[in-house]
Amino acid sequence: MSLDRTTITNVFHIALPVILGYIGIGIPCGIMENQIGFNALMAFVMSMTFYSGAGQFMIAGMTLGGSPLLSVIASVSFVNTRQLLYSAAFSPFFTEARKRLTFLFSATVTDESFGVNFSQFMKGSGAWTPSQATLVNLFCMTSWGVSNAIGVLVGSALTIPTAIASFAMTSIFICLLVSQKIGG
Amino acid sequence: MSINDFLIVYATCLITMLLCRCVPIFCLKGRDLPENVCTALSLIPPAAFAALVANDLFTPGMFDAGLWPAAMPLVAGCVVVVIAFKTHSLLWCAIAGVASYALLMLI
Repeated sequence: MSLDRTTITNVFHIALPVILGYIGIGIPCGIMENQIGFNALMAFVMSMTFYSGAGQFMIAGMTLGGSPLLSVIASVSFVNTRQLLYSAAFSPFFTEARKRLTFLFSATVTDESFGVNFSQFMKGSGAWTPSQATLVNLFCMTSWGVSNAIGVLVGSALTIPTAIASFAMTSIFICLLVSQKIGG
Repeated sequence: MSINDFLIVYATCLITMLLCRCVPIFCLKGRDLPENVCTALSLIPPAAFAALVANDLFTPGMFDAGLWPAAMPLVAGCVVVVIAFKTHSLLWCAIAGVASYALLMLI
């Protein structure tokens, strides 16, 4: 399943709305991470491995609010359990895929890339491949990682007042809440 | 945040995240989760996000200092709800939330 230049360009265009969104959210997230003492490398590494908008905002916001470590870990992990559903939803499309690709894909799934990839897979007829889906994830993750790092660098020059930063986080959670469909 | 604290939070959250992200896609091998498990799991995100939002917007004794300081984030939250329904975009919700919060702070 090799990817030629046209396919890569096509995948990039499909991922672009999410990429732009992540730049917009990633920079403020990086600014908040700077406020809790992250440097650009820590933010980049966290963004490229843990890779969670809601999770990283929570870690930064809760730490700024003085929550104990255990609270932060428990809250973030509980919220992350929704990934179980996404992973289960993608399982039918990865039955033939190689294990390493499946691992790379599943380790880089987020709410937004789930939406993009799932709707592409559901168009049916096998046109959307695991490789293309993984590439969407990698494009999005890279824009998130770079934006967070830039945010940390910007954040050392300016600070967002905590009340405003934490309301940005609340707004993101309101958006995620409204986008849920109860009962699946 | 000290380096030790960062490593503890990062490592634990990363492990739980990778387990949640990777286990089902490998273990299910194209089978479906049992329906009641699916239903139970699907209730977690609305419950979790509702708890996070409620925790941010409501506190006991929030109206002690007067109606407006506590009601102001709720009004800004309503603006975000409208934007969320219309756009389903994290970016627009964050912008609308921060903008309305900042504007309402001036009142």
